Amino acid sequence: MLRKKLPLKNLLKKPFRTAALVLIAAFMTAALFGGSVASASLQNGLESLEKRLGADIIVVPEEAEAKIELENILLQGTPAYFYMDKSLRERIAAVDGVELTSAQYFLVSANAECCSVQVQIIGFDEATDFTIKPWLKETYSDTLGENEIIVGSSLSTQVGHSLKLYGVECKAVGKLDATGTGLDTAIYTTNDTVRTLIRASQEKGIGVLAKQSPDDVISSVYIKVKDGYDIAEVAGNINLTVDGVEAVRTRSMITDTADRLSAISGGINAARIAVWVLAAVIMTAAFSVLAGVRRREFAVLRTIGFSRRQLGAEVLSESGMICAAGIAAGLIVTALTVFPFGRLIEQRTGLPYLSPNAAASTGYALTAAAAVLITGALSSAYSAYRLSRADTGNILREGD
Amino acid sequence: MKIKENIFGIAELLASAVLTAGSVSVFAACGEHEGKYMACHWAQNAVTLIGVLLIISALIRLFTRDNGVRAGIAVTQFLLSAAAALIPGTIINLCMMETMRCHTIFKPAVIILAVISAAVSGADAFITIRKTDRSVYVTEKAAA
Repeated sequence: MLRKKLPLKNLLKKPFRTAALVLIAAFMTAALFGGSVASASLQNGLESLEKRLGADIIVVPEEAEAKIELENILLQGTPAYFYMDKSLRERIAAVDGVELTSAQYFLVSANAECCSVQVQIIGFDEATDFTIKPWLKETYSDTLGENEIIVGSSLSTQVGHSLKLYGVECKAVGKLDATGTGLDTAIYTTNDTVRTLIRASQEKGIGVLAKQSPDDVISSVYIKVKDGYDIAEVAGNINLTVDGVEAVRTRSMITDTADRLSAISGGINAARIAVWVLAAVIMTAAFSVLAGVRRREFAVLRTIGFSRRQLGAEVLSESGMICAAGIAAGLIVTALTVFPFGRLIEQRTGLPYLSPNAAASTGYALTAAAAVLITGALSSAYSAYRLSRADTGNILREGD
Repeated sequence: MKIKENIFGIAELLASAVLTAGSVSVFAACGEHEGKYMACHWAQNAVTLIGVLLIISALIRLFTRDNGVRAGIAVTQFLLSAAAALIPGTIINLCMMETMRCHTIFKPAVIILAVISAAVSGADAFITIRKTDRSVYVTEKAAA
């Protein structure tokens, strides 16, 4: 009975020493678990962005800001609008190697009634669209009616509820899955509804969009390149033959993001490994020093009948309890930081960030816990061996 | 006032003080816009009010010696903290866009602090009620 309770009693008797060791284990757990979740979230976000863009090339107006604004819309959800003549779409479609084209029209709402932000409204052509429809089908299979909208996952508007834009009641008929990108904050609708919204904006005296109807202009053209054609070559041909536009390879846009993401992920991984190694060294040193300090205590235990095996088990039990407490604290603190503040991390880094699902997160938590337990056991194993092999008589005589 | 005896009371006071002060400063909800406040502002006010009540009850708990009263206060604090955690987004709607401050900072910070406060006061209530039961048992036994 005493032997079973002894490790816990020993730990409670020295609260500061125990707290310091628990803190190290918690720090190690937080670094391993938090680092894994953050890296996976960034990777998920990038994969989601890549899948979601769906097109090989995106054509935007030639103005220098257009490409940057498009990236801001896609990555950070910063609402923006830019326009080019609608006839350009036919000229782009005529370029050799272009298989499918679909135009989109960007509109920025005035502040929505519920909050002080502008919302990106994307008008798309249902007949030609191949980038949004595949995602809409997951939530909505019918065609969009008048004043019906599809909302991104970051809008709290629920399916079946209405949202007022320029005073027009728009009914949400579908909601998209989260992508961790700026696309989550947009509203998607047909060009007919966009026209209604523009008319409403004119009636409200918001003149900025007055002469820019989707009848005359478009914001971007999404292109699917025919099989066997080089995407870079097709993009180059569009830039050469169609004036006033810039064809951007979606892959190049993603590459820039992937490079930044890779640098951040690399930093996270390096910090994770550094913390792990440092914590392992500190724990080994701490257990080793403690083994020296506690030699007499263990010698006394030996004289009252503890076997060498039981002494070893005592040290390993203490280390296991310390690690278990550290793991619990580390996992709780990390889970309370990384998951609820995921959106904030996405905003601050400007990178797509999509938290892993519950199963994957549990996997990361279990891996981190196992790594800390094994590290703790290995750190204390040598001390356990030393203490169990020590010459009890000599140790007790040293104190005389 | 012995620190060891009041460790829960001090923790409760700290958690509620951070919740109250933070809800009007560091993690406040979205601010005024064109002279209008949004729904999240009222959620912030509700959280601040609960925070003030938690501070007052934590102070009373600190200066009370009766274990029964302490246990009662701890239970109340547990319930108030749970209510505070439910205010942003569940009881009172926040802004439409989940990228807004009230969703990204205010809501998670309030939930985390309220959960911490609930956990501390829950543990306090459990331990204090057990202590009270034991002292009642000892008194009754002595009287018998």
